[in-house]
This record gives sequence, C-alpha cells and structure tokens, in this order.
Amino acid sequence: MHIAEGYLPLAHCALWGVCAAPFVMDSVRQLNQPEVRARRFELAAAGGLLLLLSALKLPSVAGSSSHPTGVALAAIWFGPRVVPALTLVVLLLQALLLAHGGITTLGANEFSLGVCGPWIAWLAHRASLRLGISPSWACWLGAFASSLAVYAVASGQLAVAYPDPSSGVVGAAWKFGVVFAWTQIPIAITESFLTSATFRLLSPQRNEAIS
Amino acid sequence: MAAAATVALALAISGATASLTGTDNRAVKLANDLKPGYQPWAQPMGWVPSSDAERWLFAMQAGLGGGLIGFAVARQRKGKGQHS
Repeated sequence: MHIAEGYLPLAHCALWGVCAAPFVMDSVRQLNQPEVRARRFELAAAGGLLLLLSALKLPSVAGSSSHPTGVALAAIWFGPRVVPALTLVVLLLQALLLAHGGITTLGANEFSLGVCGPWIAWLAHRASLRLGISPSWACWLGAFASSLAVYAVASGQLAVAYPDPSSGVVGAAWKFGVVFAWTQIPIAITESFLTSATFRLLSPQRNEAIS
Repeated sequence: MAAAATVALALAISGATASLTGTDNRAVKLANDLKPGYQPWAQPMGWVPSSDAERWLFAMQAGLGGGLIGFAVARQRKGKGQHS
C-alpha cells in the first residue's frame, strides 16, 4: 500500500515520520548484530521476497489490482525489529523512481509496511506455532495477517486525514477498509502461498536452527 | 536464471493487469470524494516514469528479488553439500 505523495496533511506526515524513525534506527542496529550477519543468505532471500512481492501488481476481483506487502518472511525469520530498514529502502526506491508512494508520506507508509506489518506477521506466526499449526502454515497465517494489517493501518491513516462528513473518522476508516478489503484479501492469500513456498524452499537449515 | 524468469513473469503479469485499477488509485479517488476539491500539496519528487518504463522498473525490482532468492537457495544447497 502506498499513500500517494501530498495526500496527507503536513502535521500527519511529520507525526508518522516521528513514529517510524526510532524503529528504522533500531532496525539498522539489529542488521549489524553478528547473529543476523551470520545468516546473511537467509536475509538475502527474505529481502529478495520483499523486493519481489512489493513490485508485483497482482490482479484481484472486480477489475482491481494491488501490491502484496512481502514483509512476513523477514519478520518470521529475523524478528520484526529487523524489517523497517529493508522496507524503507523499498519505499524510497518506489517513491523516487516509480512515483509510487511519496517522500511526504514516507513516514506513514513506513509505519504501516515496516512496523505494523512485520509485528503482526511475527505475532500471528508465534501464536499459530503455539496452537500446534505446522511451521509452513504458521508462516502462511503470518503473511496473511500482516498483508491485511498493512492495509488496515493505511485505512486508519487515511481516515484520520479524511474523516467522513457524517460518520467521522470511524466511518471513513470503514470506507477505506472496504475499498481495500475486496482487493486485498485475494492478494493476501496469493502472497501467503508465495511466502510459505519460499519459507519451505529454504527451510531445511531453518528446522535445525529452530530445534 | 531465477532473476530472468522473475522479470519475464512480472512483465507478463503487469501486461495482464494494465487495465485494472490499483488500490492506491482507488484510495486517492475516495480521498477526493471525502474532501471534494482537495489538491495534493506535494507532487512526486523523483523521476515519474511512463507506464511502459514503470512496468519495466517494477519487473526489474521483482527480478532482483527473484535473483536474490535463487542466489540464497543455491548458496544453501552448496553449503549443505560441503557439510554432509
């Protein structure tokens, strides 16, 4: 999800930027940890999946299309604190070279994609494992939850900026949510299968590490 | 090889979805409905590609990602062979 350039008031842009900045700085520190560096090939794969998925515009129901988010695998393998720096690179790339998203809305987009998505992916994955769900389905559920979470947060961010004249922020959040939901649920399902497939592709090594 | 395959696949998908409306644009439309007459106060600051260039850039981004995954898989398989 990209909130387009110039579509959030300046105060909102600044606020979301302030919210996202500490997570990005923490993420840079995390990426320099020896235990993360030692697994750099898995990091390359997780980052690769993020690049791949966030670049795909997939068709969905009723003549619509949307981007998957791609953050789940990195969050599941390395923890959500590692992810924000990776998504920032992708968001900058797309804002500056592709006119998708924007510099003014970078903080808001980073907060939904780089912070909320990964944390939800990680939590949903952990909860699924606790419930005895198999690792690859837990990964599937993590990806599914995070994909929807990113769009839910973006809906909220837009709703605060564009409250509905009659039903207010809540009404507007519902309207944005409905706009996204029909497109995003099938995309989230596709994204989850791709994430879980990549997870399995690289899993022999992971199973040793987990056990 | 993984990178080339991903670029080809991404181009095919973007060709198929060219006529569809992206959710990003739908969000902009709804924002305009909720605040009629709203003018975005900033314009894209970087390069604004044509729709063809956009397709290729997105496909290249996807290809880079696919290549990285292929690279990691290849490295892992090789590493495993050495250990066993």
